[in-house]
Amino acid sequence: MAEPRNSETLAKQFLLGKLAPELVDSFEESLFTDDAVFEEVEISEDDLVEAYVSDELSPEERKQFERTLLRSPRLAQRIQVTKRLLMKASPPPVHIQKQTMSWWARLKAMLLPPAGSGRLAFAATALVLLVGSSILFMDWLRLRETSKTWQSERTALEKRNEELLAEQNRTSVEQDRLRKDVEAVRAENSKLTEQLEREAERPSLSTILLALTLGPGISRAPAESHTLNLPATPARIQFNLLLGSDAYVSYKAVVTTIGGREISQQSNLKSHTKGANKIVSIVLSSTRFTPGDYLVTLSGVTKSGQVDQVDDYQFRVRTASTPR
Amino acid sequence: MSVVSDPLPDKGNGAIPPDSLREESPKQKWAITAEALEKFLAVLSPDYEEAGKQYEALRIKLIRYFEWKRCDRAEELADLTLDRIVRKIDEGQIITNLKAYTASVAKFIALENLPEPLEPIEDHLGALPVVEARHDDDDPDPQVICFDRCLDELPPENRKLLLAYYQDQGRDKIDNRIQLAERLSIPLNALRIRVFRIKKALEKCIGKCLGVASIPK
Repeated sequence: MAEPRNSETLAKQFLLGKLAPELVDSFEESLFTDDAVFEEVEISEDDLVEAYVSDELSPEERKQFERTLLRSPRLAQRIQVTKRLLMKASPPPVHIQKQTMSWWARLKAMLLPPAGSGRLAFAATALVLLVGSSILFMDWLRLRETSKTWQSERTALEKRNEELLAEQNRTSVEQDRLRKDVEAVRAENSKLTEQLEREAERPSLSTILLALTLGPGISRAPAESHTLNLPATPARIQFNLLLGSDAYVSYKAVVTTIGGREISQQSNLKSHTKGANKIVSIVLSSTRFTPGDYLVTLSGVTKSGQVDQVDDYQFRVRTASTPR
Repeated sequence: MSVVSDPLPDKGNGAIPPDSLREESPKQKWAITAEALEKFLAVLSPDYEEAGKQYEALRIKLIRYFEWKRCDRAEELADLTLDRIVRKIDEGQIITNLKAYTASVAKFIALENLPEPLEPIEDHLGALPVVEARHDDDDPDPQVICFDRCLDELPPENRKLLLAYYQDQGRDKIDNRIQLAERLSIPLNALRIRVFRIKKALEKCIGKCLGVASIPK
């Protein structure tokens, strides 16, 4: 084995990756064949750890050592142990009190009884009081800080709450306004629709009147005679509903799509005779219809006011372009 | 122990094939057996217990070697080295100097597993597994507790020597150590070795205390 210093130098060079290339092979082999060399490298590694912790490595050595350190949790742990040993072995310096008499010493000299058992008892009592009051004072400080924190948090929460309430009020007012707007638009829309229908259904010279006579009953495909071809311009459609028997004072007709959406409802309809048939007639604007299948449900009202289901009438609406 | 799929490169041509070319067919794979391991242990020592100790010592040397060569996964590489040697012995190769042979196998494996070039060091230091000592009285750091406990458990003269050795800084530290060595009537290097062994025992105790088996190897 080489001389200790030489061996130490080689070990350090090996650890820092600075060992001369011609020495690497033999040195590495000796790590396995010579336990002393292996231990020397371990000790040198520990020296490097200490130098690293004490900031005694050159920048280049530090960089090289950190490259090994990065790959070794063991070394990281050793650094911690070394740091603690250094701290334990050399605690931070304690400032030595001046020999001159401080105000505290002078005060103590004035207050304390002369040396002896009385002085000891006094000192013990004073110490207990001092420690107790210090603890109380520290507790008070801590509570005051906690209280301050809570107070500021509470203020922030109250502020946030107020903001949320104001926001809620604003939203509520806005919702009311929007609801009113929607209602107004709906009313206007309804008014215009009624006006349009009245216009369409009002007899006038310029309005075309179409008639469609419907017999009772429902089928999957309404007959051609039960089909209404929508005119290109708005027109009044007169639906003549054939009655099997005329046993009611008046009639009520409800027109719906086949899906159940109500199109029109007319009450207090009277039957009348057309040729050999008794019929009930309703007149509707062609603007109410779009291509599709429709249903007229006719109910009869007796003298006593009882309403009976009379019959269903089916018809189909189509435009010129609707496939048959 | 693992399955060895990459035997020692042929020293005859000296070439080390790239990893991609080193894969062998499953047929060629070799798995360690109890019999192979026993042959290896017999080479280490005729005494089974002593052979076990030597095996562990060799493994720790290999782990340190790969760490010092800055290889990643030092433990895995140490096991791979041992597996290769066990295989050679199992296949009937006569090894006269096992330690030198181990060094050469380890060297090849280190060459095959050269460390990745590192990014600037500053990028890595944040990720170091160093746990800084905490100063929260309510939640004491287990490392501090273990350190204090293990230091207390050392024989008094060893604890005293350890703390004395780590006193002071700079020139004062050197002088302090010279004086310590003189007081103990031993050379400075012997003091260094003695302190290192005490420190190793301390680290072993801390490792046990923290339940970290890997630290005090």
